Parts: sequence; structure tokens; C-alpha cells
Amino acid sequence: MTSDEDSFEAFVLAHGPGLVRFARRLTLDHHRAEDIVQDVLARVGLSWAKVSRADDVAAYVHKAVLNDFLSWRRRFSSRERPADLSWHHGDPAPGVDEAVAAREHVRAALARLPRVQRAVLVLRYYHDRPDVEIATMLGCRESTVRSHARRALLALRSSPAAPSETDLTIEGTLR
Amino acid sequence: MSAPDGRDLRSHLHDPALDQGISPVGLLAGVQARQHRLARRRRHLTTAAAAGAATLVVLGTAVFTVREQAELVTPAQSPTRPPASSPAEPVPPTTPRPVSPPASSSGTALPEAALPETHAPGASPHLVLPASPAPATTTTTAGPRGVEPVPAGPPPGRVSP
Repeated sequence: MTSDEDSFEAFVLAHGPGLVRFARRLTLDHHRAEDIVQDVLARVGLSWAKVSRADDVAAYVHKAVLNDFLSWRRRFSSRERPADLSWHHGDPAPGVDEAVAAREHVRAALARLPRVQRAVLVLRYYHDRPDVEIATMLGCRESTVRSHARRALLALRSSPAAPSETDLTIEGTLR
Repeated sequence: MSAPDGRDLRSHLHDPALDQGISPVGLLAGVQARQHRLARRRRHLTTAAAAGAATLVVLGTAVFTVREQAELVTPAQSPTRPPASSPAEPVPPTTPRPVSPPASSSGTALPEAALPETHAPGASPHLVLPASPAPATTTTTAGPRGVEPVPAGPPPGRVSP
């Protein structure tokens, strides 16, 4: 086994879980998140000798995961698929904590956002990245990032209190 | 239920339930399996591309050869004609070229207009009359440049007996 393979395995073991967590926030789907991360890491691993010379390999792979999530290939290859039922349970049963219900509500509202807006929200409120950095990652201007964030928050605020059953059973790429 | 705001969003995104069930070793195994599959697919693509390129080269060579042979075949029914351009022998000149005068002492050749006219007036310039010996009395004809005309008769200074 070469040192390149060793270092790649070490990278996957160290940063893989973080990448999956990031992808889970983006996709709102456990399986799809792992699918994206494994795809990206497999491609990165085949050219690891070149990628490992980058200044910040972790940032590079994070951006690769984001690009894969936003790519047209992934958008058209899996627009509709059975929802991961373990993630939501429909309307909360009586007596369930209000926080759990609110979490489900937020998740359902996030699932209805466009992918770019969801990515902006995840990078802003989960990774706490500044807008400049988000703009660099998305390849757009800072004002575009602010516009995406404003529209996404507006959509979240104006989302119906109880999402319909159709929205819950379709993966979160509905617009 | 109230609409979600930024605080709800932040708390939802930091939900620890989203971080459960991630196995680094399982992830690595999945990545390695995909790497093998991807490498195999790339090898197949490379082989297919090389085979396609080789087929194109062979086909192109074959087409070129066939077209080259088709251009050489003449139809059986058509009358045979001599080739338009045959390697003919050089046509011998029917008229001798005018003898050029001796080169001057300086070595430069005279221009064409300075050459004496050897054909009859009115005749075709290509018709060259045979050179007749000039009579002794007509030695006044200007000879080539640099040659003094020789007077007829005995040389001066000599008295005949």
C-alpha cells in the first residue's frame, strides 16, 4: 500500500463523518447524503496525488460535495424517490414535545426550498460561514447569497404550519 | 404552530439526531468499493476509446485505398484515347538557331536586337535564309563590333611591279 493510499484513508476516516453530516443537512436524506459523499470521495481518491497538493483539502472536498449536490446530473437522476420514512412521522401524536413538532415543521419547510437556497442556509446557519465565503463556494456574488438567504427565510416564515402529506413523501427538491 | 424563524432553523440544523449512525469505517469501505468500480469503468472506457480509434484508422485507410484504386480504373466501353499529357520527346527544332556572334572581349552577350538580321524582309522571321558568302565588294557591311572593315585591293604601301 502506498503512502498516497494511506493518507487518503486517513483523510476519509478523519473528515468523512463531517462530510456526511454536511451532506445530510443539504439533502435531508441519510442515504442520499452517503451516496454523494462516497461518490465524491471515490473520485477524489482516484486523483488523490493531485488533490492532496491543494492548500486546504478539506475545504476542497466540502466544495466538491456541495457541487455534486447542486449538479444537474444529480438533480435529474434522482428527482423523485421514496422518502426516508425514518426522518419524519407525519403529524406529531398528542403529547409529543412541542420542540419535536417544531423540528419536523422546519425540516418540512426546508425540504420545499430550492437546493441553492437550502445550501445557503446550511452554510450560513450550520457552518456559520460568512456570506463572502459562501459566495466563493457557490461561484456567485455576495449580493446573490444575501438574496438567496432572504428568500429562503421568507419562504420558511410563510410556510404552512402543517405540511401536506404529499410534501412529506417526496424528497426535498420540490420548488 | 408558528412559522419557523432563524433560531428554529439553527437549532434544527444543529440537531444531534442528524449526526447519528455515521460509521467512518463503513464509509471508507463504501468509498473503496466505488473507487474500484470507477477505476474499472475508466479502464473499460479507455479500452473502448482505443479500440474505436484503431477501427477508425483502419477504416480510413481502407477507404483511402479503395478510392485510390477506383480512380485508376478506366471504363471498358469508352474509346481509348491517348493520354492528354504523355511524356513526349522534345521536338527537334526545324530551323537552326542563328549563330550567335562571338562574345565581346568584355564577355557580355549582345542583346537580341543587336544581332544582324538574317532573314529576308517580309518573310517570316522564323524562315532563315541560307547564309551566302558575301562578295568581296560588299565588305562594307558592318561586321561585328570591334572588327575593322578590310578594304579591297592590295594593302597600302606596296607597289606592284
